[in-house]
Amino acid sequence: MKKGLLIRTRVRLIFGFSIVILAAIAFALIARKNQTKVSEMNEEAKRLNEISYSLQGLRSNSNRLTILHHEYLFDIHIESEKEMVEQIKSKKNDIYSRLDYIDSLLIESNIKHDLFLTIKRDFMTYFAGYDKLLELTVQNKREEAKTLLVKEQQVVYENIRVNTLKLEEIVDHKITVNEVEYKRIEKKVSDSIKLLGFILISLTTILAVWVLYLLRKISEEIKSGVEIISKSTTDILSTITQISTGAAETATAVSETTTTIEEVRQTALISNQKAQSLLQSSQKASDSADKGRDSVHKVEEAMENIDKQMKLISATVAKLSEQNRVIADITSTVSDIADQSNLLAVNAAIEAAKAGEQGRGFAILAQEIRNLADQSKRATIQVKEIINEVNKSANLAVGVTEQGAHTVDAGMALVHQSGEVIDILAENVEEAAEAAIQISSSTRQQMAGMDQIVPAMENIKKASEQNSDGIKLTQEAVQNIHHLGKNLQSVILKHNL
Amino acid sequence: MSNRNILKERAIVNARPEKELFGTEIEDVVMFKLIKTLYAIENKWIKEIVRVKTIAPIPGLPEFVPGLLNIRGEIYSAVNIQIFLEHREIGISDINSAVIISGNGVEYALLADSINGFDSSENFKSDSFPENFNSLQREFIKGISSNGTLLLDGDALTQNRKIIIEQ
Repeated sequence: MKKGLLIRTRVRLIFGFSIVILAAIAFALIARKNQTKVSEMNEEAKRLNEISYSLQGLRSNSNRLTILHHEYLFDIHIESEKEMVEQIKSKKNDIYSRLDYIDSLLIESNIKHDLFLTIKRDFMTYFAGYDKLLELTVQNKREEAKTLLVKEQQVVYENIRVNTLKLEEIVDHKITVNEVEYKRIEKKVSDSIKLLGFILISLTTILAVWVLYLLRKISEEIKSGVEIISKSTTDILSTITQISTGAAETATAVSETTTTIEEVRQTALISNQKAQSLLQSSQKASDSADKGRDSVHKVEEAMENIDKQMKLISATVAKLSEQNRVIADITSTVSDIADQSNLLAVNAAIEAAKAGEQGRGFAILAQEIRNLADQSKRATIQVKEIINEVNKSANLAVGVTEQGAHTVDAGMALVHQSGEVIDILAENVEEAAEAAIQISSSTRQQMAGMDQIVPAMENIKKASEQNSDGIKLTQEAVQNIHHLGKNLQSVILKHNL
Repeated sequence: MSNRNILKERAIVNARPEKELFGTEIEDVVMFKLIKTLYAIENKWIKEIVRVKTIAPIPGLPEFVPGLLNIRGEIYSAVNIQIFLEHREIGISDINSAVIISGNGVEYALLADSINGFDSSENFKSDSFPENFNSLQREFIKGISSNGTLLLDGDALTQNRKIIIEQ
């Protein structure tokens, strides 16, 4: 739209200026044409005047020549005949040249030539007569010469004079006509120039008004544009200031980042060292785990031996218990026998008592037997108690061995568990070692990355500094634009378009 | 109890003088125990003391006769004197002996947990029965010792119709 408008304005301007230029060219051409015409008229007038003047000269020359001839023939006081002849000759030449000149002018002026040819012919006759006259003079035929001069030459001279006058009249008439024509043409030229000038001035005025209007419009647009530029440059300036601040912050951030990267690098270095030490520790731990595994195997074997021995103890105690039971049976038998012996003794004692005094010895015997039976009984009771004690101990031993067996089983389970734990520990240690290796390689890569980041950060720093410089330059440029806008504003205000 | 202590006790017992072992008084009663009570009976009424392994229960007998005993082919009535005397005691009886009474043409067995030796009939007094004795006890018990041993009356046991059961 704007482009179209611009193009249209340009076309309009071109069109307007073209019209003005064409008008000016037309004006110039017409003026030129009229000027040419006027100058031609001037030339013509000049030529006609020249012809008129030359014809007068010719007449005067012919008069002078006639006079010279008269003086030559009739004046006795001629100081020098030769000088006279020379004067006649020069006059004759003068007339010749004047004739040629008039001839050429007449040809140029396009005037009736016949009369001039007659004049020219008469002059030739006239000159021939004078030549004859001079010859007669030289031959001292002065009288003849005088006759010739007065009669023949006078007629020719008269003819020449009349014809010349005629021609002069024609030329004068022509001059008059020419002057009238000149005035007419001059008026015409003046009118046309006035008209053209008016048209040109009108066109120029219209164009000027239009251009002024256009300029005003453009200047208003420029003004608003300048205001926008001014505002935009202010905005840009503030933005650039912000960018500049941002660039400064970026530079600070880059510097801080570089420091941080260095710290991270140090940390990565420490991590790598730690990972290395962790790797060594892991290897030691792995060795310890292997030793632990061997120990667990040995403990397992020992526990198995303990288990076997516990089982042996258990079997022995069971056997002991069985033997105790047998002893208890035997003791019971003994106790039974003792009871029976006791009873027998009691019966014997009763019988002895029945026998009275005779049976007293027997009673003592029976008593003794009863005592023995009692002792046996007590002994069996004690044996029973002992066996009971032994059984209790055996049972306790069985319980203890069972507990021992359980403890051994639990110990075995714990040892197995310990072995599994050690296995898991070993696996964990191996994983930790692998992790340590990975950490080590990662930290190495990190350090390499850091080493690459540091120059990159340097480049960023440089770029940031360049940006900062560029921003400064941009700021200056924008300042210049701002000043330019201000200048444009002042120019617009100054010219008040 | 350790073996050393057992041997020591035994040695003390064996070291007693004979006089202490065999007193001058005549030991004419045999003592037996039933649950907690000690009973005594004179030797002259005792035919024999035997071990009891099994008692064959017979239906229709009184409560104090739990059954019959077979001693070397001879059949005896087994009498629980405690039940007979209506002297109820709390406890578990462990009958393993029987005192066979013989006299006045009557023979039967008094059941006993254990035989507890001999004593002299002089140690039993017949004038100081406890007041809580019932008529049966007063009928069949003829003396009581200082330690509470009850001396059974052999005549009553062999003649009183309350204990003699006619077939």
